[in-house]
Amino acid sequence: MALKNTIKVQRAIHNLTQAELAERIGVSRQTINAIEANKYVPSTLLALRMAKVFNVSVEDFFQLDEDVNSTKN
Amino acid sequence: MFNKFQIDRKYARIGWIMLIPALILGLLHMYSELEPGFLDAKVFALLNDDLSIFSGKDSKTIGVISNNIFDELLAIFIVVGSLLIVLAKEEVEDEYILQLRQESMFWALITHSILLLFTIIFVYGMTFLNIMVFNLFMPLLLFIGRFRYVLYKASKV
Repeated sequence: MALKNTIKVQRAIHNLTQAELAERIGVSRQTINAIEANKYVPSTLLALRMAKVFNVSVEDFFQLDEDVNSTKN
Repeated sequence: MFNKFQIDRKYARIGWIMLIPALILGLLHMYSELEPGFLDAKVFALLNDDLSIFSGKDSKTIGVISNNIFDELLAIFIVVGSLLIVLAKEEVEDEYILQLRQESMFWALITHSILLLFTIIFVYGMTFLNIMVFNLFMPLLLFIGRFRYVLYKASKV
């Protein structure tokens, strides 16, 4: 998965647990957990909702992982 | 892909109440020929092959026949119960949960196909027919099992 994220850091900055963030953007806690673990790539809609909660842009917590061959999905 | 068919969460409980007893009674029925007498009934049959050689007269006709409806009821309860569980929404039904559903569905279809092929190639005679009865319900049951398992795994972390 050529996507890395710093959602955990953003959560720490805003002092939010996985469950609290999940509730704020209307998903299950499992979803936040899967996204943080890079097991699931969220929809654009969900990413933008997270950005709104963190008050930053999506690129601030989602980046392409350049180390990994990006064509490999 | 699932959302438009999904139903309220409360139906899952009704589904389990239908499915579990029907599965237990179904196994009892298969292994002990359990057939409550009060369920002997006249039913409308579109097609009927009388398996008994001594009474094989009015087979394959549209008409009313005598039959114990215990196994029919059990099968209906298993199918409808499973379907209610499959279609009922989770507490928070979001895009990740839908992806887990999709993955579980493919897993169930592939596993079912493998079981089917195994049965076709290696099992013969009456046992083949008995196992095919189980195979009928496998796609729904395998999906439920797999989906509950991945949900459990996802919530444990």
